[in-house]
Amino acid sequence: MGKVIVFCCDAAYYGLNMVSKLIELPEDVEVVRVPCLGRVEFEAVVRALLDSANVVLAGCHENNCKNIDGSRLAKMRVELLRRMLEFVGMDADRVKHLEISTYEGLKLAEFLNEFAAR
Amino acid sequence: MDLVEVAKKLFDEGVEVIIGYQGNFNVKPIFAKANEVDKLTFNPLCIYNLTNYLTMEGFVDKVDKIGVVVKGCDSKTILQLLDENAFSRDKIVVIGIPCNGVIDVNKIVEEIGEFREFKDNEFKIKWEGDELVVEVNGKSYKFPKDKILLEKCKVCETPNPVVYDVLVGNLIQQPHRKEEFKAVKEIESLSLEQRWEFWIKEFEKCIRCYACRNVCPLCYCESCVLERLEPEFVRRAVRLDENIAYHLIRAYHLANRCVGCGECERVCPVNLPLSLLNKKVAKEVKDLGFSEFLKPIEVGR
Ligand code: SF4
Ligand code: SF4
Ligand code: SF4
Repeated sequence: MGKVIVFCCDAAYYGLNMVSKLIELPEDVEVVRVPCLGRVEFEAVVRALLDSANVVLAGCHENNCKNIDGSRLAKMRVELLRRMLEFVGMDADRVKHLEISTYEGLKLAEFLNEFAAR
Repeated sequence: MDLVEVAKKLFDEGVEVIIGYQGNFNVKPIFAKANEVDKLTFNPLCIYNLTNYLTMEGFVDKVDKIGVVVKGCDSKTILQLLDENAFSRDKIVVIGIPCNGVIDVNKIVEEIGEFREFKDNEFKIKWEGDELVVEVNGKSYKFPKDKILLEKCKVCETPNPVVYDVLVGNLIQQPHRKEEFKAVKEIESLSLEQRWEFWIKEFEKCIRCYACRNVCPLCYCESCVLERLEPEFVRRAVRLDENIAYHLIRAYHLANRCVGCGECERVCPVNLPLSLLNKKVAKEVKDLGFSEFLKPIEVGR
């Protein structure tokens, strides 16, 4: 089991919080709360990868981002990074982008359990 | 009008300095003042993308009007820089040169000899159709275009400047060739393991001199992420993982901005195939259709 860093925007973070009594997150999962996924720098994700963590970016659905473009920006960054990783022969599946609303905390928690067990 | 005549006219009209090329074989950049106008030249050895100097810290603020000599590819940098508000349009006079391509000098040295064997002013070089004609030491040499052209010129889509105020020479009718991402596709066709093997060999060579960053006309952020200590996304250590981080980040910062001038690859002392990464990113950005979306937000500050 590897370390997982999950960047959550406010919405996804509240979602996770709401289900914290229902479902536990594995120890290796570190939740980093950010105001908006659009703020998560490409560099930060690369850094995390090289420090041998797998990375998840969880935030609003594309058209439901309170900062309008944040979610789309994150999606773009992750997709571009994944394609670059593939190109240099690295495992692209170490980085994921998930669209999670406040009411989908359970979905996120379940995903993280699976992802951490990878 | 030839380059010198054009330049003379511009100096008369109030241009203070022209960034151009000087020399014949030994081509160097020159910041020409009015009294040095005769030194300005252009030939198939004028490889440098001179627009890099426009973003030197404080330079455009110190000079009223700057002339800059650009080939087709270099001119794209100017458009990009203007897009990013790097300087105001009325500061610069773009001297555009429709370009037949520039060459890899190493490919002719073998036949014509090293520089020390002749004087710079006894050296002549020019395109004649699909041949390069070189005259030196009283002898004349011919080289077929395909053999000596730089890779980037073989796939150049814009031999004519895309932005200019004055033009030297006539517009070229046909673009040279089309960019089809051949080299990128070749790597893509390898297996994951093969790609990894290919790239570690390359990334391991990198000595992190940052020449590729410094020469890039579009790497001009005052505060570069590579020098940031808090948070320190890329550590100073020169080893494989940090090198990979550097190269991913460099290529990403140029996503949708890189104009493919090839300067980064040219200056690399260990010959990393940087264009390959740049092109890959260019291809994906295009494919993902993010260019329009990227523009107003991602200016790489
Ligand atoms: S890329 Fe095009 S414009 Fe640039 S030097 Fe080559 S042929 Fe000339
Ligand atoms: S110029 Fe070459 S060696 Fe220097 S940092 Fe760039 S890729 Fe590395
Ligand atoms: S990354 Fe290289 S090819 Fe692209 S603009 Fe910069 S120097 Fe030119």
